[in-house]
Amino acid sequence: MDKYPKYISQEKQELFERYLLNEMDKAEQLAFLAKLDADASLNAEFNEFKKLFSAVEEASLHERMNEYHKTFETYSSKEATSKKRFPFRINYGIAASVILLLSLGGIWYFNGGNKTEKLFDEFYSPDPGLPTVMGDTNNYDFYEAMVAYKHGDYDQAIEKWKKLLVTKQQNDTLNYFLASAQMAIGDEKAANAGFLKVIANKGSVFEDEAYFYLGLEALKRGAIPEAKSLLELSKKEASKELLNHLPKK
Amino acid sequence: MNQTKTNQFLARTQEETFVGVLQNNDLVLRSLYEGVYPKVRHFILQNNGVEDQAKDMFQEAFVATWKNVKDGKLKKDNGLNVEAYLFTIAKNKWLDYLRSSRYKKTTRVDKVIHLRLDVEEEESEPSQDQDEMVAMQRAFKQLGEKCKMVLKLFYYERKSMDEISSELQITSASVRNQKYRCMEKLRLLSLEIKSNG
Repeated sequence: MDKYPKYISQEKQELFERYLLNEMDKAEQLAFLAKLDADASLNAEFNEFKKLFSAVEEASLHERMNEYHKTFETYSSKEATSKKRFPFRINYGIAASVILLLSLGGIWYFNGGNKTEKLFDEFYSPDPGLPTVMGDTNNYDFYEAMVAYKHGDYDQAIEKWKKLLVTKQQNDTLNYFLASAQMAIGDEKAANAGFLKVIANKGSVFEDEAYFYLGLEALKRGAIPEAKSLLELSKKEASKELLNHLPKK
Repeated sequence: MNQTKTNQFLARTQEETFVGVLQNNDLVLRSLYEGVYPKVRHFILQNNGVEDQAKDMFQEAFVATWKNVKDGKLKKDNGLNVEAYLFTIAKNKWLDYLRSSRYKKTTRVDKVIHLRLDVEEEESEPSQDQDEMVAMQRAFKQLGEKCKMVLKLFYYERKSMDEISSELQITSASVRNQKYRCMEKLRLLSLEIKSNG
């Protein structure tokens, strides 16, 4: 006699797989569930298989997570894949409008600071940064700081990017990530100034993100109308989601 | 001037993130990991933690979030943001650890205890199920490389028989048989591990 109950047949395994991989149509799914309901032994076999399936998935996820984590371990790796960027002309009109919006917005406050803080916590996470991979780059210093940024060492990233900013005042990528790092350490005033420079660069690829973070910062202060106006200018999905959580009037 | 967004992470919608997590999409999972970890690390290091603890706590939270999406406890329709959810789970796990008996320095705890945010976390699995899962995962590690590869490609990466066949340079029929035999072996090894404690 075998020490353990026999393993299921190949056909049964494949049937269970089809259900778990969502490959059955609705009718087949219902029929399968009815069968499980009516047959305790089949149900037990299915539950055991489901656990084995999950174990393979979870063990594989652990392997992948350790691989993802190498990004943060290879702290000395420097580099970049992103296209070389060039400065855009500043649109002072937009920048002025946003500054006005920020100052006017300051007089509005939402009744319920806790709610806005909670929303801020729910929606805020620093920009993940640009991918950094091994290789040659012309922007060595920029990506060295990016590695620090992605490592969560915002202070070091800020220090490095600030040095670069001296000669690249209007570079939107630089301004955007410097502002992101400043926001991550809670220096909202500096972050706002950086995000404003980004949106002043007409057509910047970071425009939607900059409006989003400006909106979040306003939300954090409890300035709801200001936050809404800024979020409406961002096409980011998260901006739309956040707007849905804010009062309509 | 219209440009393609260079930031692949921010261009992703919540729906894409949910679907990606459900299907173990590597790009989505990597983005989620790389996007949220720095913030969690920053929080933990600011609150008496060290590098290894940040990594462990974050990975625990990452698995919990992944499971909750898979089990349907975290749904895209309920307006939750996966990144924010992951961060909150990690943060709460760290605060729970600071409050636990494993962590004795109460003075620091007083400073952070009020920060805990309410989100529905994963319910703990019954201990028997946990033991079984641990045994199964240990068994997976002990499988031969070939078996691990076939199972990983099929169950985790969700590749088709044909894709696996071309990747491993074996016929589809062999893939099918190996998958079956390897799963059988995984089960046997798990039962052995479990019965030997």
